[in-house]
Amino acid sequence: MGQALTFDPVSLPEEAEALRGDVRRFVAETLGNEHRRNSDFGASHDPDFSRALGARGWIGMTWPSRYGGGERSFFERYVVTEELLAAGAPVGAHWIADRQSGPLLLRYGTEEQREFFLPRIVRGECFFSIGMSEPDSGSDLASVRTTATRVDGGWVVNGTKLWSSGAHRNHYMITLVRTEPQGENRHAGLSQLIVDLRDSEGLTVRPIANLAGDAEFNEVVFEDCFVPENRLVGEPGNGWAQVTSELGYERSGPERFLSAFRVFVELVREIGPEPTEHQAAVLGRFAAHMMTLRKMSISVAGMLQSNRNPVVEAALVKELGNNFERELPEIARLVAPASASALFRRTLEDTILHAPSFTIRGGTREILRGMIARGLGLR
Amino acid sequence: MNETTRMVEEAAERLLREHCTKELVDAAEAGTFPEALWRQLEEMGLPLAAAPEAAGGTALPLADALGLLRLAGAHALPLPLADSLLANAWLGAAGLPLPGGPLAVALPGSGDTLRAERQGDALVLSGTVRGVSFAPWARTVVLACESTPGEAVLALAAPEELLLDAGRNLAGEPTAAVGCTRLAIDAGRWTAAGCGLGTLRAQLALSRAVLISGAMQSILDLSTSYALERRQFGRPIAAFQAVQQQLAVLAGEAAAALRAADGALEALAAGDADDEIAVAKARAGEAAGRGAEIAHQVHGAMGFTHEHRLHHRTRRLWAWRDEHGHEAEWQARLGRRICAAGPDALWAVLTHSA
Repeated sequence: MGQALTFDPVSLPEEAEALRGDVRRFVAETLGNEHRRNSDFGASHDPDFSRALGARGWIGMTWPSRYGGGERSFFERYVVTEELLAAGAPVGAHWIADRQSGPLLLRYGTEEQREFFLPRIVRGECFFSIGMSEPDSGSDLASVRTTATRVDGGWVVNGTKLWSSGAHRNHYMITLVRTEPQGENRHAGLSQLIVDLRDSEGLTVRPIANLAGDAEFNEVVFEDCFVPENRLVGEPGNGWAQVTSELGYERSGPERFLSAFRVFVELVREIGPEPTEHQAAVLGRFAAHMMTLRKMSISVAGMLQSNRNPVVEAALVKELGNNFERELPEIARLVAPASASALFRRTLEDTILHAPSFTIRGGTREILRGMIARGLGLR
Repeated sequence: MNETTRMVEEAAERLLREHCTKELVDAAEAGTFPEALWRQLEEMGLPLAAAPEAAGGTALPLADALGLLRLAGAHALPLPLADSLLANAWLGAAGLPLPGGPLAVALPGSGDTLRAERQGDALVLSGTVRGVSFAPWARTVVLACESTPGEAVLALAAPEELLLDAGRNLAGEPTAAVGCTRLAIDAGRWTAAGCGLGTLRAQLALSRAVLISGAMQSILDLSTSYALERRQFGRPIAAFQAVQQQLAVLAGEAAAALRAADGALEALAAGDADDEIAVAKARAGEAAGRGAEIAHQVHGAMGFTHEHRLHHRTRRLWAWRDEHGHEAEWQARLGRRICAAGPDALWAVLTHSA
């Protein structure tokens, strides 16, 4: 049988399960019983909540203690993350820093960068945005045209980044730039710079309203924007490898199938204790999908824990998970009782309005399927 | 998986690769019982893999033994290994002498009427069960039903005493409706199972989920190989994005079916598998339908011929997803449990962390 796409049986160890109750109590105490939207990590910005989480040691959980990290396992991080998402907690402010910017700096950053940024991230005081896409570079990321030219003491950046969530209120953005003109190898000559979003000259951040009316993502324009030498991440020219490893962290987590979870919860509330056979089957189908996705996602956490690089497996979990979270509200609306409450309607409508982004952000469905096809040896 | 299981698995893989050929499966579908292959399975101890040593079995943990069925699914084995393996485990655990030979299990699903009552030392059975897999080839039929609510009994009967209406399932495997009216089974030919009928049925359903997971991997392998070999417009069809995208979806369904079935086996080994078996049968059953559709689309007209071996797998996928409860039945069971627990316990139910 094929070996390319196997998901080893992995279950969460005791010490990870033990965190679950702590997180539930923390969320109940911190947020009370107010209505929760889905924990959309692009939209739920709450710096106070992030700082409180940091104080509990639940940001940078797997990082070394010398940078303030908790030296916990990926499984422990998994439990905290999924509990927060399921509860609809506002995790958006610190999300990118915790999930990918911090791990990127740990792997490729200078000692000075680690000592400066990581403890701040861990305390829930330092938030990051992603600076990858551009007006003419979406799925074809290697075609980015934003340039960084070497000058005395650093780099001068020119160009435009797009869809950078939270750039209007976060502190930093890790920005993919071309440091050498594009040659034969289009993956060569790319680098990553940490741009200070709050204190850089020649930088303009313009929020772009999305179809739900939120202003979450942004256009970030660089006009001769100076970035000091010590803000280069890794080696100049190594940007493609770095960005690829960053995307690996981005793709397999529980946020890839829990984006519509609150609709599931509210649908169960509306249907009540005595479902029709059809309603019961719909709810059971959601459960069967979610429980299977969760096992696959935990299996990927196990691969990360063993220092493997599960790029294709992560793409597969994201692809299956995104399809599930897009399908969920579409089916929920058809089986909800006609008498459904305003609360249910609001949760459903909010999810329907955000659902188009689920299969685009972090790699479109089509790009992910292409990666899986490559994993199968088809290309 | 323990070391014995690994050795058995390797030997079984070699045996099936060599002997469970296209010709053998075709002949079985034409009505010939593949006796030599059955004898080889017996020599390898597979039908008794989960039966106790005292009964002549290998005494593998039930979850490990059921895991071997992935191979049966991948090779489209046209023999009642799943049901024989389970029935021997149940009979052996209950202390009844094992009847030997291929076994069929007649366990009533919704719409079936088989029931039992005790009369002195004997058990008296009446009613029918439809679509009993491999009953026409079975040496003994194991009837499973309840005598009192919550307590299953297992009774042995010869097919001649029971067979009503023989037919074939979608895969061309022999099946039959089984029935009797006040059939008395003497002591020594029946036993209490030591659990409810639902537990036995769940294990049968799990066996089908595992078979599906094996066949899904096989149709994925067949489809990727075919896409790389078959040339149209001057290049392999694997070069077309439309084909690549479909195969990526098939890979996702295969991986989900495998993870769901494995998850239920892990839960069975740990002791509480009720929810996980429902998840496995529901998810694998859904994967079977989508996966078979894509595999056929990729194979084009070639895969629609009787000559190609793809249909040995896809027709079994279509049969297995219905056996012992189709997707909706197991989904509804999960759904009712979710509704009973209520919205604020949903997450705890899904994560087993109440």
